[in-house]
This record gives sequence, C-alpha cells and structure tokens, in this order.
Amino acid sequence: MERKTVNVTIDGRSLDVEEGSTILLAARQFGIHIPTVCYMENLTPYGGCRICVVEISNNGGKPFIDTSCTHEVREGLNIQTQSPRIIRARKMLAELLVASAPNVKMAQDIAARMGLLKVRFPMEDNRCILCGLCIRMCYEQMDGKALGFVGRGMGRKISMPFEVRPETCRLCRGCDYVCPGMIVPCQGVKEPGELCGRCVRLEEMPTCCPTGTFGCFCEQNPL
Amino acid sequence: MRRVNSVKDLEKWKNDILSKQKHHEMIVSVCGGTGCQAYGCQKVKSAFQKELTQHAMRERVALKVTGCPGFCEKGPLVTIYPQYIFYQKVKPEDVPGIISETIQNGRKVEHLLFEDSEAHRKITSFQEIPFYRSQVRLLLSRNDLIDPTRIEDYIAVGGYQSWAKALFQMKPTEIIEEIKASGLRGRGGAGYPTGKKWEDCKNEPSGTKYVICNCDEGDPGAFMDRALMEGNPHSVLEGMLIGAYAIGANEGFIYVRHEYPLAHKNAEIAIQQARKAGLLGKNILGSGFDFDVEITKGGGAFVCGESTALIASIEGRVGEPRSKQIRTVKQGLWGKPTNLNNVETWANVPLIIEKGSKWFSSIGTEKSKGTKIFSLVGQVKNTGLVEVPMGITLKEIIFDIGGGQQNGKRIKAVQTGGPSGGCIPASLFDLPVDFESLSQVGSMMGSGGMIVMDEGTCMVDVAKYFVHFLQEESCGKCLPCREGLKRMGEILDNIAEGKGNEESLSLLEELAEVVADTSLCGLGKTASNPVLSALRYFKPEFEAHIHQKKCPAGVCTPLIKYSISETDCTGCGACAKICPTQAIKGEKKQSHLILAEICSKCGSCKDVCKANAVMVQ
Repeated sequence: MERKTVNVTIDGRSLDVEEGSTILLAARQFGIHIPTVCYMENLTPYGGCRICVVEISNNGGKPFIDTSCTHEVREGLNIQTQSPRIIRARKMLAELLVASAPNVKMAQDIAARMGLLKVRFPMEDNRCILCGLCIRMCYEQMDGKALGFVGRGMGRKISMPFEVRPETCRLCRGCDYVCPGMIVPCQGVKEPGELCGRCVRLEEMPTCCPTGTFGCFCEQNPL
Repeated sequence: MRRVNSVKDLEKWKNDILSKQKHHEMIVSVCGGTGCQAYGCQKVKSAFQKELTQHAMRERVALKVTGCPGFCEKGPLVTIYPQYIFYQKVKPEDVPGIISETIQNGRKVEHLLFEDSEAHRKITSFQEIPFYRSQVRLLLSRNDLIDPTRIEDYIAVGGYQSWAKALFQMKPTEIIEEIKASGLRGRGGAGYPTGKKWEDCKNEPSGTKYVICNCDEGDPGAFMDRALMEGNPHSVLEGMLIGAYAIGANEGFIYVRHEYPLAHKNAEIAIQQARKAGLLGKNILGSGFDFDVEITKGGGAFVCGESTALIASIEGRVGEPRSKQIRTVKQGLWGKPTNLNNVETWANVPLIIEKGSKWFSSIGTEKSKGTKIFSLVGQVKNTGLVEVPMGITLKEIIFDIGGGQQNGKRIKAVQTGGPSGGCIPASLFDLPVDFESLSQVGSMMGSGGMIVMDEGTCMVDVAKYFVHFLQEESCGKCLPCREGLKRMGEILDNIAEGKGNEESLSLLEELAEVVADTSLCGLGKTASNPVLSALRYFKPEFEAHIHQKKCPAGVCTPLIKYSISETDCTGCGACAKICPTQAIKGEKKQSHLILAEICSKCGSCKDVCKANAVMVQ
C-alpha cells in the first residue's frame, strides 16, 4: 500500500512525513528531540502538560503555538521546535512543574534538561502531576475504566468512582507502571526547593546513584 | 393554540392576533427581567392585576410582563403604551395612582418619571432619556413589547416571518451568502465571521449535523445573553431555525447555564409553544424540513462557555476543552459537524434575513458590522444593558449613555470583555469599539461585559480578583492554566500585601505571557489579559505597592491605615457605634481616635461619617 506523505519544514529542514502523523511523531522519526511529559506511545495524546509545544506557521501565516503531540502535520507547515519563544515557554512550564512536584523524577529531569538553575516559586510537594497517563493506560490499554479526574482547577485529582475500587479494576498495576510519580528522583530531594538533575548536568558523579553508572531513568527514558 | 401548516396560516394568525389586540386601548407593560424581579416587580404586577380587576378595566387595558428593556438601575420599570410613558422605580403603592391618573385621566404621575439630573427636567418617553438616546436597539427593542411566555406576542411583532421567508423564498446557499454579505461576526467574543462558519459546516459531507446555541454566559457583571434569552427566546429560536435550514441540520441544542433559571424556563416555554404551533418539529410549515431543539442545562462551570468544553458537557462528559486543530464545524457534537453560535449571534439572524444584508452592513465599522449589546456596570450613574452600533467610542458609552462618574470620583479605566478582557485606561476612551481596536489595546470584545472603574479602584486588586476568578474556574487540564494562574494569584496576593519585590513584576509578566502562549483553550490563552493590560497601563500603581508599600486607591487592606482627622471630627459618635471591633474611642463632642491594633479596616466608619473626617492612608 502506498503511503501518502506531506511536506513540512521542521527547524529549517524540509521533510516528507506520513500524512496523519502528529508533529511530535514526525520530528522524532527524523531525530529531532521534543521533550514530553504527558505523552506516551500507544496512548491517546492528551495535550495537558504543554511541554511539547512548538511554534507553527501555516503557509507563511502568523506563527502560533500548539502542542506537537496533538497537532497533525499538514502540507506546507513550518515548524520551529527551538525558537526563543518556545524555549522560554518550556522553561517556564518546567519551572511550574518542578515547583509543584519537586519529588517527581520526571519533573526534576525536565527542569534539568531545560537548564533550570533556580525555581522562583514557593515549592510544594505534590506527588501527582496530573498528567493523566494512568487514566489513559487503564482505559485504553487495560480496559479497566477504573480511574478518572475528579474536581476542577486546583481541586483536580485522580480518583476512582466514588473513591472506591470498582470491580473493573483487576489490580493489574498498569497505572503504577506508567506513573511518573512512582519513580523517586535518586534518593529524593534533601533540601526543600533543591533541584536535582545532577545526572543530566554530569558535573559530578551523583553519590546517590546505586549502580554508579548514572543509570538513573534518563537513559532508558529519553525525555 | 393554533397550529400553522403554511405561510398563509402564519399570516392569518398574525392578523387575528393584531385584530384582537385592537380591543385594548392601553397596554401596561411591567419589566419581568431578573433585575426588576429583584426589585420586586412581581408585586407591582399583582397590584396592577388587582387594581385593574377592581376597576373592571381588564378588557380595555392589557397587562404584560415583558423582557428586560435594559435600564436595570431604575427598576422596576413600567411603560404605558401607546403614550410611551416610562415610569421608573415603581412600587406597589404607586399602582393606584398610575391607574387613576394615567390610565383613567391620561395625566402623568410626575414623581415616577425619569429625571435628568443635569437638565433638571422630567422626561416622559424613554427615547428621550440620555441612557437610551445614543443607543441603537435592534435586538433589545422587541424585549419591551412582548411577553416572552406568549408566542402570540412575538408573532404580532412580525416574528417567524424571516423564517418563512428563508424557508420558502431562499435557498440554503442564498441564506449563507446573505449572512456572509452582512458581515455578521460571532458575538461570543472571538468575532469569527458567522457566514463563513455556516458555510464550512454546510460543506461537510456528513448527513447528521447539529446547531448549538451557547447561553453559558459566565462573565462577572455580564447579562446580555441572559436578557435576550429571558426576554425574547423566540428570536433566538428563529435564528437557529434559519441557521439549521441553511446548514442542513435537523437537531439543535440550547445550552443554558444552571444559574439562569428564568432563561431556562422561558426558553422551554418558547420551544413547547413553537412545537405546538408547528414551527418546530416535523414538516415545518409544510415545507418538508424537520428541526427540533432541546435544552441542556449546564452545571455552571465557566469553562463550559468554551465550545469544545460545552460540547463535551452536552455529550455527558466532563466539561473540558480539547485541542482545536480539528474545528467543531468538522467534528463537534458526537463527532458530527456542529455549528455553535452565541445567543446574540442567533438573535441577529432573523433581522438580517428580514431587512437584508445591505441594511445590516450599513451599521458599524468596516470590519465589525451591526450592533453589540454591552452590560454596562460598575462606577457609572446609569447601569444596565446598552445596545450600541459598532464603532461608537468608549467615551460615548461611558459618559453619554452611562452618565459618567457616580460618586464624584474620576473614572480611570474600563474593563471590557469580562475576566479575559483587559483594562483600558481613560486616556484611550476615544477608541472606537470594535473587535480589532479592542484587541489592539490589549483587551477584547468578549461577550460584552463592561465594568467601569473609578479612582477608588485599585488595579492590583482588580487583576487579583480576575486571576483568582479564573483560577477557580480553570478546568485544570493543562499545566500553564492550572499551575500558572495559581502562581500568578500568589504573586498578586504578595504584591497586594506589600510583600512584593523587584523580581515580582518581571516574573509576573513573563509568567502571564507564557500562560497566554501555551494554554490549551481560550480561557487560559486570554487569562493573562487583565494582568498584562493592568501592567501595561497602570504600572505605577503596582510599583507603589512594591516600593512605597502603599495602595494609592486605598483598597488593599494590609497597606492602608484608617485615621480620624482631629479638625474635622464633630464627635457625633456614629463611627464608634458602627465599628464592629470597637476600635474607635472618644468622648461625645470630642475628637475620636482609631486604635490601629484593633481596627479591622472594614471601612464602615468612613461610610457613616457625615463630616468626612475618616481618612485612609
């Protein structure tokens, strides 16, 4: 079967990509790195963390920002993944993320990758970053339909119907498996507000690394 | 109720109603809008009912409870036709007077007439009142004439004639061309060309299509859609019928928020009556076209005014927006092409079909046509709903219609477009009001809220209020809106408490820009407008909070101090009596003193002091 392609420009490179694929997939196919938090292959893109934003201009139109995980490629799109506007936005998003959940490894990793040295907001200690991966895993892959979002805005949390484990939950622990909050950063943040990320900056061997190979999670899970 | 099966029937029905109405020598119309209901118009109506029955005048004089004429400040409003005598602030006790003077003898009741405070004269007819003089009331004018619960009233003023015209004299493409030529743009805020939206929806190949009317107006201080839906629901229905026919939809939804019980009730009554009359349902007017409307009640979430969240809510899912790369005209309700328009947009449609696109496009500016209803509230003399042509200046709205400042404090800004709009300073009041010019100065048309603020308003406090409102109303799906607004609120709280520092403003600005750039839906994308526009035009006020630790407007309680001027205090003791914390000490006829440690800074003393001796620093 012949596959249809469309021509897009990503960071100045003209690429032919498969029709119907998202910008994120297209970029990754060609080795262009776009960081993500709430995205996972084989789960429906959610577009909640906004870390994967890119600047898109449609046939010379005014550039706008959208998430690459949800935006489908179209003929003639010009996409910037590293423009100053995007870098600034991602840095701020990473700062917001790590300030709300400093003890989640993924938040620390993103902050480190963005080169964040200081967080200007008061630190909180949330363990859930509301990425919704567990919900989608449960619903789409495990056919569990046991999890969902409850509440709105700041009161939003992940819960089971009426906070009781429904019969549809088979304790498969798919939710645990995908949850970024289940992976504690190294041995955890010692000082409140301290940014971890040493394994990314590689200035010194992290003493907390059990294997001494800075194995961490970074290498298995390139962000 | 009679059932109409053809255009002839409709015409005959109209003539019958008109000839019946000829028996009435006079019409007493009492406003039954939400504002006037709060003032007690139901009691006024009952009083009229009782008095008219007593005087055996029910045959000659018709009593009507109508929709909102807009001048909510002066309610309850009563208008006597055909003399067009406009009575304001009518109490049940005034009713016998009106009956004996006006209705029986044709004289006016002087103390109920509107008084022009500048010209010092009484005004009889409402067209001469300054509040109404500069308005162009295309949509609202019918509100005062019809009882929204009676379809006959709407038919009598020419209702459903546009629908008949569209159905039998125009092809769907002609209707769309007409709407496109009129230049009508979405009144919900974004200003997307309505005709183009319809065309896109019509061109979708799907067999099933939907039309939706968005009546989920949640902006603080805005009630335009409410007044239209409560006062003239049939005009919205007629617009939806025409739109559905043009697009090829057979089913429609009206999404009314839970907080609008009267709008919900009146829309429900209107739908039932239209169904009984054969104007909704199967084979409408014998044309073979089917269309029906259902009402969905929203739970009152602000974010459900966003089209994709609204659709999710109708489908029974959580009201959360989705990425809008695929537009709702392609995939909307249940994945089918869906055309969603605001109440005011729908209400404009019958007018355009009736009077033609040329007439409509002659009103307004080059890019924004027609009229717009604003709810003018805040620190102006005349508050209420005003309908003005696009392109009118802010000055005309605030000073000519609104009557200018209220309590002797200079007006310093106006906030347009609700919580997602921006604050426009007084120096820009010559700005013509249309979609483009408002967004150029960092605000937006929005759905049409207009909050006027005077010198007693602190811009930090305003920004804080709107950010906290949006923070409460954010659905929480995306990170910048959920976390970013929370952090913006924290920074603004700090500034208002005098804990801000050099970094606060730059961080606030950067954060606001990123939230606007990266948020998922319109709520987050525009949430920064109040903050950014306040920073742009009123930066000195923010700096005063940070550097001098002072609130120039005397609003932010942690930064102000109440004291009593020794020279002005007459020692009447009124302040000491009202003080809830007993923080005011002093002998009778002696100068009083406020104990700063106990003072809760509620400001009650300032309000009661007749000598104006209480000072805020």
